[in-house]
Amino acid sequence: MNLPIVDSVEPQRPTATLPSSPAKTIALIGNPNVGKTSLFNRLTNLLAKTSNFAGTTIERRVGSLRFSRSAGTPPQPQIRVVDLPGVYSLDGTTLEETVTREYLDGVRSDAKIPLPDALVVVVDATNLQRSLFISRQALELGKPTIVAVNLHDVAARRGIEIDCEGLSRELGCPVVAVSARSGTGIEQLESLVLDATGESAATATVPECSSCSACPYAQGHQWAASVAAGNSRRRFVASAEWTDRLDRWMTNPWLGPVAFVAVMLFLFSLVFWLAQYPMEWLDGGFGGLAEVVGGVLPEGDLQSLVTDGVIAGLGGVLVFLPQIMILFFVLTLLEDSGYLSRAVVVVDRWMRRVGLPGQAFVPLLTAHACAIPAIMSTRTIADRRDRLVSIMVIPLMTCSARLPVYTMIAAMLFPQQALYAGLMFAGAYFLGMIAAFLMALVFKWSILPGQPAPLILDLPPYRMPSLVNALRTAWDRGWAFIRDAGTIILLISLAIWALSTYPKPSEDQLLSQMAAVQASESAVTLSSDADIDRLRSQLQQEHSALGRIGKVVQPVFAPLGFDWKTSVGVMASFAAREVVVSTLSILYGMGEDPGDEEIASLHTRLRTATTADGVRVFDTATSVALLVFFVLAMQCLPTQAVTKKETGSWKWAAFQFGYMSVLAYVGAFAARHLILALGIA
Amino acid sequence: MSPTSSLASEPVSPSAPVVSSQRLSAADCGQFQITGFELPSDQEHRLRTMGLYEGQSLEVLRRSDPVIFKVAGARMALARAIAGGVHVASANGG
Repeated sequence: MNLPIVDSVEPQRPTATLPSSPAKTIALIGNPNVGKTSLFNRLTNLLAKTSNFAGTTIERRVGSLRFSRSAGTPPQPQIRVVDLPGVYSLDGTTLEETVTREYLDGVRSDAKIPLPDALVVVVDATNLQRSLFISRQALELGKPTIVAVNLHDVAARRGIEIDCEGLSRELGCPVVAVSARSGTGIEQLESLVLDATGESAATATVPECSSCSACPYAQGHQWAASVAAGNSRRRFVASAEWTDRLDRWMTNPWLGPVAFVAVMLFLFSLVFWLAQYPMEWLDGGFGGLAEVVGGVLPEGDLQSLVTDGVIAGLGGVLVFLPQIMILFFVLTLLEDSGYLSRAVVVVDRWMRRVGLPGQAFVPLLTAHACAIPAIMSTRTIADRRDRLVSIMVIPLMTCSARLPVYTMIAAMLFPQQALYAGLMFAGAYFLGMIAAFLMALVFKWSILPGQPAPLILDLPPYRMPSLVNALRTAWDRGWAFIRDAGTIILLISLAIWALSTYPKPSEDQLLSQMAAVQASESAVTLSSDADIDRLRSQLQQEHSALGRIGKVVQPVFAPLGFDWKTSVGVMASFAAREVVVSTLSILYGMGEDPGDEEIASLHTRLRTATTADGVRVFDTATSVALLVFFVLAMQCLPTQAVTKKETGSWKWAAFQFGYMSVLAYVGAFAARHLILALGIA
Repeated sequence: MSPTSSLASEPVSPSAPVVSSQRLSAADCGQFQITGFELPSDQEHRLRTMGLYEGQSLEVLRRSDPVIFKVAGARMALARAIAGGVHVASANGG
């Protein structure tokens, strides 16, 4: 298997055939962590579109320059701003560097992002030496170029003074000091952009000798270092900087892991706790909407389609949004603060042993809330193999959708025994993690061989993160999820609805079956309309395609001890694991949407359910088998849709589904027979 | 995949101008100068774009895995496997 991580290729049009548009384009270039994105947000006033370069997961953002008050004379021309990925050089070999170079060479420019008319190189005032290197390569492109010295205010506080005029003379292009955070220098930058995109814009010339190609890096860096040294001056030496002091603790071999665990636990519980409120509102909101719409529409198939299919499907998509957005908000704050790269340093050594890179830790932790944002956040992993292994094992982590299922099984196994129930929960979490690490090892030895790419990591200085940037990222990710996965999820929800609704038994069939049930089971009393409705939906579920599939596949699940009702539950939860609770609820005659009290009686009913020969359906061995199955099985179509999206192929999604199903089956079988062999009742 | 593991006991290149050249992975905390690379070309290239080249000075801050050091005004972490392919000489001549 050798599948590239890509997404669908956009149609590309050669630039030459485009009508010459009056709008000009500028591109922002710079190292990672120099505040390029903050500057982009400032210039475009947060109104930008994020998309990927065709055939890659490398993001680009395009927006229109929103002029501040005094810059430019009205009418202001339309200027397109393109934010390119952060890179250290323009001739590098990483995917980001290749894509950036290809765009600037015109290979990847298209109607949405034509070749830039001018370049803005963003450099970091607190480390001019490192960030100036790329400006030399940018100047060699021979386009009108502006150098924006960002973080000017931070540098000033550290006693660093930068001579922009001197820099400008040496670089041979305009240089402006800016602070994307406070907004100083932005108006100057805007008027420089106007000049650079105007008719009489001066093209850049390469500073000093450029003929030395034997040692371009040493040359370029020495040039950058001398220019930086010649044009900046330390007014005072800031005593032991923050970063030094903090790093003494954060990367310490003993204290580092402690700090890491503390930060991650805090982050994780915060996401979990914060997200539960909007999730409840969404759940309640969609429930209420379904009720209102159900009341308006006449009873029948259309009503069922709209309420149980469309509205429930939409709710199923949107319910993931709070966790996705909150998680990316907090992660962006953590990344901007500089801590995230320290966390990678701390865990890299341990993760590497099972064939995962240090960068996979945050996604794996995130997966305990929800696998979808976790898989989306693997974009920080540069190496393709490393990223694939991470995506493949992420859904083994216990996500929040498994919790209702665990609760149900805990009630079957340990009614009124909170301590044992708690231990069972811990065991289920632990089983998921162990399975993920073991599978990572298995992949390393089999289909995804090789070592994780060794760590080469920049540790940016600690900084105050920007709330605006974090909100912007959260919004982007949320929107990307709805756009990319939402439609697939909605379609699949509709398909599942159809399978569990059709074919319908005729009224005669229903009546005769109901009479039969009443005659055979004296325990069932059909005293009220509600009881009749429940029996009706139970019989309909049984008659539907899904019910029939459940009965057909029951022999497959028999070795795990599942009866046909449980098998239907497993089939129905193929798209979303938590569905098993409501399906079992219907099949065991408790109605469709059990409330708190009904949940308790559902648990009693499940615990005491017996087969025709009076044997308990959910004995200890079967309950444990059910638990192990739900810990390990891939029962989440939204996740599958995201896996497809992020790996660029249904093959990886199918493989993920396949290996996890086999693992779940084998695990459940082993668990059941172990318990039977031990003779635990 | 990494060629560095097999080169553990190779003598220092005689052309090195400084008395004692050693691997960055074995260096103590302190000031050093880079004398050469012994890495797959893509990794070497990556390090060069980040400001590591022959003659560049760096300061080792922590000799753990990964090795943490300051170079070109920035702070970097390098896995031991890669740090083993970066040759450095003590900047103090000893």
